[in-house]
Amino acid sequence: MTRSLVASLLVLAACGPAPMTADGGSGHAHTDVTQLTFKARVGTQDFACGQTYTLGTPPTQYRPRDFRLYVHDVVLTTEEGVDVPFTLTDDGAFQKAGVALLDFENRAGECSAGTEATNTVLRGLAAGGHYEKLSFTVGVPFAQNHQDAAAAAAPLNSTAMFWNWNGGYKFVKIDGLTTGLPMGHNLHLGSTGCMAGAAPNSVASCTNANRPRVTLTFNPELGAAVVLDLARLFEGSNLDTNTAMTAPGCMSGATDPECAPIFQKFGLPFGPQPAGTQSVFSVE
Amino acid sequence: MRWWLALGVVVLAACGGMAPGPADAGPGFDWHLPKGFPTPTVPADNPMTDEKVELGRRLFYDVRLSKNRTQACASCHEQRRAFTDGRPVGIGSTGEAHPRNAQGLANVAYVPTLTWANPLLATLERQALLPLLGEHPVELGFAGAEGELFERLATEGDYAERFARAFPDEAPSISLVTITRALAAFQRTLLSGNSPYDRWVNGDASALSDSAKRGLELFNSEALECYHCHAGFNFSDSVAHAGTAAPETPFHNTGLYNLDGNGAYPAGNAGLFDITGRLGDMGRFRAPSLRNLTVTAPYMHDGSIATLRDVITHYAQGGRSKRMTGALSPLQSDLVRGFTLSAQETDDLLAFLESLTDAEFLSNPAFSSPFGTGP
Repeated sequence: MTRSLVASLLVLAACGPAPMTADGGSGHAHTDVTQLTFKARVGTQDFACGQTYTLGTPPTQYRPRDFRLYVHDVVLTTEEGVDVPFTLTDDGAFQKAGVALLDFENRAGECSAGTEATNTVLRGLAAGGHYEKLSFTVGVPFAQNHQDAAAAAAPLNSTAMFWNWNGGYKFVKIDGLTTGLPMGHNLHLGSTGCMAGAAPNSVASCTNANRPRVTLTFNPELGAAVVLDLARLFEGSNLDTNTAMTAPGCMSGATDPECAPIFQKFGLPFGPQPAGTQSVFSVE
Repeated sequence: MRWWLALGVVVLAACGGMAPGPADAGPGFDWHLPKGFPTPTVPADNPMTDEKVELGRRLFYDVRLSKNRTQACASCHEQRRAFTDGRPVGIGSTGEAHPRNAQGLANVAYVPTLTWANPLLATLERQALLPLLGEHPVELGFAGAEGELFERLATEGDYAERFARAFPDEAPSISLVTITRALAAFQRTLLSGNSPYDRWVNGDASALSDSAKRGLELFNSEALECYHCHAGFNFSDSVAHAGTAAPETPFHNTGLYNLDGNGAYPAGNAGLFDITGRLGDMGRFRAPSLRNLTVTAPYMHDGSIATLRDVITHYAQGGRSKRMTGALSPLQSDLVRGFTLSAQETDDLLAFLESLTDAEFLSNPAFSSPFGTGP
């Protein structure tokens, strides 16, 4: 078992982005970037399970049930426009092979199906430099998204994030109870329209990748943090109603009307609605 | 050599999402294959063993497999109903209704795409994750709580020992990998091939009534076209076995719904469309096997037809939606165009379909609950 475990570590490492030598700002006295902090907010309030928030359009009462998302391909860009990968450290829990699970729920309140452990900081390394931008992709890379989840290592072993009927993972899981939907409003973002490959259980391609690419003006030396704001995410969404015979909330269904405003906030195309600029993430 | 095999599996799983190809069953495993049946496909990483099958049988019948300990797999898959549940749609452990009719498991070892319409689910191992972990709807309810299931199985009953025996090379021996492999191994043994029809095929001229024989001719006629989709030994064109090079994975629209004149099915239950998003896939479902049909009512993906006689009426009318809208759905299979049967012919067709029920399968102790009384 030890040997195959080691082998799998090597293999997974090989699948992710190859480590690169950072060369952003040699000659300057910049410290290495080893942490990137994320904060979950609802408007001006900090997000926490067990709280009740006023959200949506028109506003309703929202009690969180889950809040997790995967990110990968984290890159810092220097003022000269050089992209420097922020290489995620494999930690055996939330980060592996270039993919990280951000987990803002702590099992409190209605988040009882969650985990006590949270993860709000990406840990890794980019050599010091004069950075002015941070980019990352929300989701699991295609090469890892359609693996056998039952045998996957952390953080891709989170069964709450499994999305087996669609042959992949939920990239984003933000679930809550609202006044009008006391059984739950669920946001599950993931790839849809996936076509089977030749090998059993394999996926050849997906029509809708649904992986938002986020680019933010960002200077790590100023102690900046990335903010994910649920108030902005659900602005324009009526969280009290759900179109009959569609998933309760938005489960990325290509014809589910509740997905249209949410996809727009992520900057994703949806049906005739073109791709745009995301407004969910910001920097403070 | 074994760890090299494990390594290969890990590599494939990690990089390409590719599963290992088919292989023979484990050495010495006795399938008890019905006469004329081919050897089922078995994933290379889950060879058949008696230990796995027996473990899988216990898991299948054990209510510990639902988070609230109210349901087992067998709750929606009852042996006496050919592993269906008699309801229009399945009801999960928390009371939530599934959009789909619980499918029979007879000969599920030969099905190349599992559930009603999902080309992404090619193995029973992968499929088992849906009822265990699904959230929409909740079935067994273990999403985010699989640790509780592992803990139960490690500390209750004699599972620890059974897992260790069935999976001597896996560590930990109790995991999603091993639970789903054991369930799959058991389900692959659920072979049904001793119906009156089979006995007639195998030379017992008295096994079929004259009426059933006339019904068989109708079934295979170009007037009715039943046999195109319900083809071969398992009465389904969606079939694969160890000798199949590249399984075909057909899906068909039978004209059950046409809500908008363009072929629309009820939202959220539109078959292959729900996976691929292609409009032409609207209403396309896998043709289920017709074996043991008399005990699997109600019928269709949503259980919306109560009796076998009404199913024949649906096809005779060229699809239920044609009767309701007056027009064929543009998405409907060109093999569903309607036909006329006399009362006697309808009875004959029913007599043939009834001959596909395998009483031995419905009571075979090897497939029954190991706990005495089933849940």
